[in-house]
Amino acid sequence: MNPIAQELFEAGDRYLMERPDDIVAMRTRMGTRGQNMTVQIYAFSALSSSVDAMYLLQEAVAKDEYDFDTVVKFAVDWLSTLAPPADDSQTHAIIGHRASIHYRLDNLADLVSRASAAIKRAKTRDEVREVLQALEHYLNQVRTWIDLEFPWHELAVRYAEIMGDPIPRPAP
Amino acid sequence: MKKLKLTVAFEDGDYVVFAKLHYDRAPNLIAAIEKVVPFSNPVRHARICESEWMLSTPYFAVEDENFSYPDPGDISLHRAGPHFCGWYERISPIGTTDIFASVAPEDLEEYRKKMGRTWEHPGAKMTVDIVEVEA
Repeated sequence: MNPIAQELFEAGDRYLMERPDDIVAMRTRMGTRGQNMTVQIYAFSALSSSVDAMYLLQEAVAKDEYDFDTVVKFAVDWLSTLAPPADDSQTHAIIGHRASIHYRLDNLADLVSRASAAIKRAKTRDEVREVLQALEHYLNQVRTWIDLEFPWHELAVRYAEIMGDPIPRPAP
Repeated sequence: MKKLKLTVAFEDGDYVVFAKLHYDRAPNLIAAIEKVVPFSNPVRHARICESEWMLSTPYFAVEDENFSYPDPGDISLHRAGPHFCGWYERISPIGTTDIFASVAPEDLEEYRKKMGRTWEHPGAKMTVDIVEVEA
């Protein structure tokens, strides 16, 4: 197995029950006017979209409906919104680095950078698919812990008050 | 007979529920799940779909099976991630999903009350296993 895929799968498996250190760091990243809520919402949304993207791409790369270079380029470009490939930090500088600079998910940024570089170097569809599946698993687990951190219920109640919506129904 | 066993470690004690496995409709999916159980993950609640809990799983890639609309009690695999989804009460399904197990109708009342807690109190450890039980 590709070493970065191995590392991603192992981290993902560990995070099934272990809260990633990145989550603690993310909670210290303050956004506009010194609040953390928007950082969490943006990070959760970015990782949720990325899980779906990795899932769709690992399906696509196994089929012949997309040529190999297109799948690789799209995967690298998508991932560069989180972190640029480790061997090409300048090309994607404008939209990249969100994982580290916006969300303070530094371990995630490092792994995504190295995975992205591995995808660029890969020669076969199987090699690319392995890294994409490892990314899907890893990003899913980190996303889960951001989800758990966020007080959905409490904020939904407050949101309804602010917006004049009906109060959320109580638990059954 | 083998059944899916869910154990949720709520603060006031463990809640255990068994679900019938649909070997007739999702044999390959269940075979894949049998390779990754037992596992545990903090259970969460869905935020768009009504009355649905979610659980991230170890990684496995499978094809769609029994891709259909869920009813209360159904448990499915959402392949992206992947994660398990379980519907515990009335639902307005937002799409089809790979249903592989179902909680029995006679267990739904308690299941509804217990799993409904995961919206207000997410994060309880859920352990998933497939175990032999008496028919």
